[in-house]
Amino acid sequence: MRKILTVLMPALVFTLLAGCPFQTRPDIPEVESRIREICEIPGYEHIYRDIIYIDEKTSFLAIPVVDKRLLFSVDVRVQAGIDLNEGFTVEKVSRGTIRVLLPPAQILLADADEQSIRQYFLKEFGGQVSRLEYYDEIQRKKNELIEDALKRGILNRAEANVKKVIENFLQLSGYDTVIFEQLKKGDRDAG
Amino acid sequence: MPAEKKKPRKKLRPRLLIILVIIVALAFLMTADPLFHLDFGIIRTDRQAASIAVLTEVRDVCALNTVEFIHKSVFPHDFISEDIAWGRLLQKQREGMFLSEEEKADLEVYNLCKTLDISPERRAYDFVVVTSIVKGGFDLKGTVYQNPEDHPELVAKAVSISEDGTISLSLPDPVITEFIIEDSSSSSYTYPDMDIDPEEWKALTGFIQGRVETIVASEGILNTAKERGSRFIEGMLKDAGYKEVIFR
Repeated sequence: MRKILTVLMPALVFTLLAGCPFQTRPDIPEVESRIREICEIPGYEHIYRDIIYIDEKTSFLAIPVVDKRLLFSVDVRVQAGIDLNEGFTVEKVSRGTIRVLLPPAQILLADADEQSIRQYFLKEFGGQVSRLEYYDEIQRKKNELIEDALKRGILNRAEANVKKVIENFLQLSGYDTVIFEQLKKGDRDAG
Repeated sequence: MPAEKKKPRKKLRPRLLIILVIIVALAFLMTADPLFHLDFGIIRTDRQAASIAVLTEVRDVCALNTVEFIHKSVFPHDFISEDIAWGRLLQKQREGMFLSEEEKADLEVYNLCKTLDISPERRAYDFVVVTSIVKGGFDLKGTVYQNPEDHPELVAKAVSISEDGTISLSLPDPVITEFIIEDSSSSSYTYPDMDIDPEEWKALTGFIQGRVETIVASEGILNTAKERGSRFIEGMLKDAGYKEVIFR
């Protein structure tokens, strides 16, 4: 009888445990790879439809010699999210609890869509508005819009969104508690 | 014949049995919960539980705002068509002729231009820039997403999970969740200043507010909001193990 039990026990235990919920939880490398996929989507995006106005007036003895005016709109996308190239770590704390250490959110993209340009008016008296002139303006605008996006809290929103999606995915995968921590600067450099 | 010696009983046996009982009891406790909820439709019940869990998690993601539009409108240029003949339109109005909805909208712009001392008839370089903030998201009100547990019959319609790991779900309609017209200040307004008093500014912002739908449609804001929301949900569900995600 003992021999039978000894032989059967591993099989019995294996069979019973195979049906346990924690067996369905993805392991750490799998969780890491899936978190990478989630972070590929920027957490928050600002789509600007901005207006650029170029105005140059010169006069000589109160007589206008240059009067250049250009008004146009351009769409600029500013995206923020978590760049995992800065490093990240996933640790199992206990059964059903997992700790995710992520770097802070950052601006991932600021891109002007030249196809979206719409010119409202152009006045060229005493000179022309060159292509480089308005491209410089677009470039300057992009930097301004990054600052604007930061002021509006794009980083906080991006981070909150990414964390929410990771949390939901982990909960669907069987982890009841997800602890988020920010990766320290030293860890990031090492990563 | 000498009596056969009885082999001494090993003491390991009861200990082994106790260990076995403990292991079986533990394993039972870990797996038994669904057994207490057994009914004749166990497979259906499990599927429904999974569907409710999915709807609950998708609801959380739907509630997130993932995109924000900061839209600058140029008045009056954004609101008048380039080939408009103001003289003919004004004459039609004077003669009391029938005006289409489009012509009525053009007249509204014309009257506002006059209020703001802008002359739309001649090619003028006067303009006012108004900044609006538009946020898009999903309208969860009155949908199964609000309380999936209370509407099992609607859950089955909203989400279906097939054996091959394909999940098919219908998302709520995308809507504008927020529309704000930003106040301008001398530091943020980088365009030529115009002599507009508070009453005129109110009239202008009221006009822009009334054109929200036009702005939203022209910029494809709802589509972008839906597309981004869907990407988040698809990513989350695929990562949770579903092979394919179909939005109905």
